[in-house]
Amino acid sequence: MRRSSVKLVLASSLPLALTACSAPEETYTVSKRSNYTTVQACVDDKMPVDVCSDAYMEALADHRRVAPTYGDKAACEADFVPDYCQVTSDGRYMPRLGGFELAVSGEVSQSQVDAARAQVESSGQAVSGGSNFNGLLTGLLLGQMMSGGSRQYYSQPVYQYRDSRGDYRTTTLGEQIDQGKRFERSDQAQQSGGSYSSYYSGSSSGGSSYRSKTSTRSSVSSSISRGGFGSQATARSGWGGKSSGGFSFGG
Amino acid sequence: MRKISIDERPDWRATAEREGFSFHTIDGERYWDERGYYQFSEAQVSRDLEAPTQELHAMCLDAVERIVDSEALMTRLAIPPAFFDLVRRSWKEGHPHLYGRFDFSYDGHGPAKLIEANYDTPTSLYEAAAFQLIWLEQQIERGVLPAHASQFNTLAEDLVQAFGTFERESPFYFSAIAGSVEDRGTTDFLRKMAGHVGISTRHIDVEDIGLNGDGRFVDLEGRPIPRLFKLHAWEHIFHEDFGQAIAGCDTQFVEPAWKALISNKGILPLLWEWHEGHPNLLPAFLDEDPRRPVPKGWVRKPYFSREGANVDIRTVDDQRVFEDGPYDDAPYILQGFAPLPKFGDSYTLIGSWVIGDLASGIGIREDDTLITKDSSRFLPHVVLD
Repeated sequence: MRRSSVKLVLASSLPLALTACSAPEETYTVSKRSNYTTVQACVDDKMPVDVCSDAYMEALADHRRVAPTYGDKAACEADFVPDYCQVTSDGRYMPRLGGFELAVSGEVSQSQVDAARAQVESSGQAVSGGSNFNGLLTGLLLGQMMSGGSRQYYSQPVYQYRDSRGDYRTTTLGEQIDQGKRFERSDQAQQSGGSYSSYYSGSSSGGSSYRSKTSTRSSVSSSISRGGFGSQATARSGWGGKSSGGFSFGG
Repeated sequence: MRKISIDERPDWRATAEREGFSFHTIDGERYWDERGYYQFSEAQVSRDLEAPTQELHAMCLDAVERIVDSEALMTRLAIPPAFFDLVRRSWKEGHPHLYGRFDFSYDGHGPAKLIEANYDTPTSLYEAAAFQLIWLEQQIERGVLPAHASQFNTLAEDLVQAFGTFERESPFYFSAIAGSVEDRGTTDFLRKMAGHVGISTRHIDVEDIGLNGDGRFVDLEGRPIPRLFKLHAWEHIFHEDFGQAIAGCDTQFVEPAWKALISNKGILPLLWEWHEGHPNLLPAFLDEDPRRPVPKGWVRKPYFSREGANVDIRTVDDQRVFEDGPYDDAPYILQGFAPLPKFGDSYTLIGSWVIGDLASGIGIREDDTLITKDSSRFLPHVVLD
């Protein structure tokens, strides 16, 4: 029985074809996901200020929409950490926004990778080959990507809680649900048959898709419309309360 | 065909991460599962899977040939009339296609039975073409499996061949719905295969595709998209805003619009009508009254459904197995129930791939229930006599 050569499929294998000098460049996807407590912390991490503030505003809007609310303070703090919950305008209790998670992603060209690699090497650091970039290289490439060309990012609110070993952690509600938290005493859970997670997966926009922000170099014609593909597939997504990006729209 | 337990490679997760197989675990549950593998004989694969795959593919193409000339049949397959011409033209002009997957119920004995054809947006390609191959090579290298163990798996090689038939001058865009790691894994793998023949590729999220004032589809920088692989189903596109712009655009779509005829469970009753009694087909009929209970020994499925959604089984001894879902707005078929074989505690489904026009390999999914879903595990296989 025949099988393909494994060389065709390994991540480290190079294209078989010899590309001519003028051939378009290979591109690489670079991405990063970080938590920030403030916009300033985000800017200090060399992210553009407009991205940081937009990410924060988005997380705040999401927070107001999806954070669990409770009838009493103790119930709220049992799900998060002591002295963490605040009273809302209508007398309920909800956790404080603990910051935001920002995920960025975009493509860089082979020459950008080569240049960044040379820069890292000239500083005396070792760089691995292939398309697996180490932290330093990723940082450089992200900087280039965020300051020009196309970039995509999304943000969602994060909250402090204590994990099963009692350690303080800060992460998104989606991840807390994945780790088994049920927010059973929240208003949302009580209203939807004891399940906060079904409420969450139906309401949260956080993490469901990257928003595209192209830089404002305006060679792009203003008459382009977007978003005319994809609505039918996404309208049927989230079925079964999946919260991560593991599902498929294919089949 | 048997299932054999085997030690996991202790470093498989690190290998998966290094190889870019990021969805090996989904929501904390194993998706890739190498605690066991399926072993087939050469004869089982070539006689019971490869040959029927090749034959069913030919039958499907023949069905398309018949359907595109009949508005009645296109209507029966729920193709909107506004798209009859697009579908017909894509076939008559010979728009090239890349891949498809038949799902079989097969237990090693007797003919494999076709459950459905995923001919427009199949996934689980990377796992089948790449990661199970890497698994086999490493298990041979480490002396766990014998050196003459093989796989029915020329997927990568055949994809490179198929991409070789496309011209190499203009860029090839690959698109998937934003946010699905699994779909992106499929398109990124296809990009790698296209890269082997010197095609320059770019990714674009389906939602980011633009339409400019000249009626051309463009990328985020406003550059025209000459060729677009879309991991996004035609039956959705037909009902989306940009669908009507396709007829007048100059983008080549892969898969082409005629794939909407095969990737549609409405094809199954037609195949049965035209090849009644074929050993690899199950009896199938249009469901005239989807409100009545499913008869014993039958399965009700909507025309368009993915990952097992809205599938309703009633076994011969009157057990009901039902998977809820969002696909309740299209016609339904009734198909004879061919239970998936049970190995240990798991029900096993064989996905048999067609690349270009070649039967190219298999991938195996296991589920705890009779309905294979997106959470079903993927297990590797070995061909060994």
